[in-house]
Amino acid sequence: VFDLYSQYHFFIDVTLIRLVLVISVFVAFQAGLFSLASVGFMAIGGYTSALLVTKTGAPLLLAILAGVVVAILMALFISPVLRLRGTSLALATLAFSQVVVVIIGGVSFFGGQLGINVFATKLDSSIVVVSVIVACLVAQRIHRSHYRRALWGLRVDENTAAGLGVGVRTTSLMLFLVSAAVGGLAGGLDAFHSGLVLPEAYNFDLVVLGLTYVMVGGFGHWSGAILAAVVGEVIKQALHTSGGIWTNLAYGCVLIIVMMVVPNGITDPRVWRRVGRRLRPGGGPDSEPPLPAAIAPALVGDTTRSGSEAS
Amino acid sequence: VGQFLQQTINGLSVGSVYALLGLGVTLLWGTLHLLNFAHGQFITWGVFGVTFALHSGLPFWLAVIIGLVTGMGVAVLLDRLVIGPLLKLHASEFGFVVATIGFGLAFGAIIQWRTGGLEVGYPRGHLPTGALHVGSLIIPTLQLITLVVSIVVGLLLIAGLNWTHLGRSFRTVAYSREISELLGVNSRLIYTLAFAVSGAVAALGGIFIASDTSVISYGFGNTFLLTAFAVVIVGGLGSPKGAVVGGLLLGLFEVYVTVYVSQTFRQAVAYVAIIVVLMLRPQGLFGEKVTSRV
Repeated sequence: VFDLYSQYHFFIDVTLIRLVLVISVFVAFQAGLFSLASVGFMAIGGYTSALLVTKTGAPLLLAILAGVVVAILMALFISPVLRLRGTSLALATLAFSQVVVVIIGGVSFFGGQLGINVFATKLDSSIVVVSVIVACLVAQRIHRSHYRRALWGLRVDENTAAGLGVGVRTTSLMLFLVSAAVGGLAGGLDAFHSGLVLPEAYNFDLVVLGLTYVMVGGFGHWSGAILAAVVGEVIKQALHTSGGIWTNLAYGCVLIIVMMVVPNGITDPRVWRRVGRRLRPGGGPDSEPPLPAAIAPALVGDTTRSGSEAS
Repeated sequence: VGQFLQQTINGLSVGSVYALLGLGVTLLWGTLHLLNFAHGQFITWGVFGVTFALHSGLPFWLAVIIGLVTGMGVAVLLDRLVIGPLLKLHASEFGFVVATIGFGLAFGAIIQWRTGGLEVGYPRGHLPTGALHVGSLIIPTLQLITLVVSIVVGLLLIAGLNWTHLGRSFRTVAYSREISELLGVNSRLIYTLAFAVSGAVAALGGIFIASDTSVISYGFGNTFLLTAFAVVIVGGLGSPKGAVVGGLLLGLFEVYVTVYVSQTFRQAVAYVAIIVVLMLRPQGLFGEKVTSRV
């Protein structure tokens, strides 16, 4: 029984840490910043905190906090990439994540390919739980602020948003820094949870993991991505596959289907409005006023029924 | 000086394969403005097609054709199953990228399942592996063939795009899908053709790499994905000339960094190239300037 419990316990912590990563990806995507740098920030946070603990003997919490700060500084350093948009930004940030992995794998100070061993420092689960709550609160704080409409504008059409008085550069930069901070936090937690930081841990699979859950969850509210991540991880655990063949096949198919059926994710309010209308007795199949062209594609095709299935 | 000249030859050898990889990526960007994250799967499937045919005892020329057709087939599947429906839904740029990542994952998983995630031997020896000696310089024959093939393919693409009726249709569709439709061009057919050519060129590149490494696995193509992207970013997105020049330049840089800096940072060259060129000259060497539209 104890063995079963500890296995279960490990799974919960891994999932919770992944939720922090998902929030990091969500925060950037929410503002239309197609940034794949979260995993790079995770690596930076993980290595900073691991190095601090092993080289200076800093206390755990301070080390994790330092990881967050260094991730933010790094984000400031590469913030000129925010001039790019869309595919170019995705490519540049993906390249950034890869450069980080090459550097930490190639410099002996960072432990090379063998990584850094931090088994001696134990991470309490309560820290993980608190971190997830903090990450969610940050996301909720952004959601409830006046930034929410600004972000919506940035996502749909940046030039129009700028014309309406949204400070495009400041808002993008702020969200990018928050994304980096949360990514760094995920890295620090992950380092002490697994007891080892390895360059190969921050691979493309992890990028795809964050991407999948955020795309399924959509940009309406952070809870969608969290829900998608929890459901996805539980299903993976139930099928006893972690990062295996079937996981990749499933992620791949889910990504394609989501882009076709609910391109804005399951938290898109329009999906739910349509579901509601279908369920209401006597409700017509479509009585909605026309939408602006930029967001109308979401409604093409039978989004309603499949949307509720995907959730 | 002799050593530098030798390294330059090595760089051009490495770059000649990169040029082939870049040509496939740039063609899809040129016609569809699509950065295809599933490009690695065209390479992987093409190479596995060749290996499978060779293991079944077929002659090399037939195996190569089977490999090219396999690469083409995967590319056309991507076009028909994913890109076509997304075009109909007027999906965002975001949507296309995510869907191609998904397609790449799914198709990579199929190969992973069939091979059990293990490495598979690629029967080399069908292409010459020796080297020519010119004075004190060593020129590997395989790489010389690769260089010639990628320049020929690049020239064929440039010539085809500029001087044939079909090529003009390609460029019209690239300029504007709506206008090309008004002029009576079947843009869907053009897209499918672009995918087919891209898949075949990717498979060809894969065959040359596999002849060099002699070992392939399900992740084979994806290791070159970001390199291929770096090639087209450096050369200019959508320009076949840029892909050839960008590929050779990147190969040179990688070899120079390996020799004069460190082997470890060789991989970083492509990634740094992506970031630096996107920041300083987003249109690359031969690309067109893009401005954002409301």
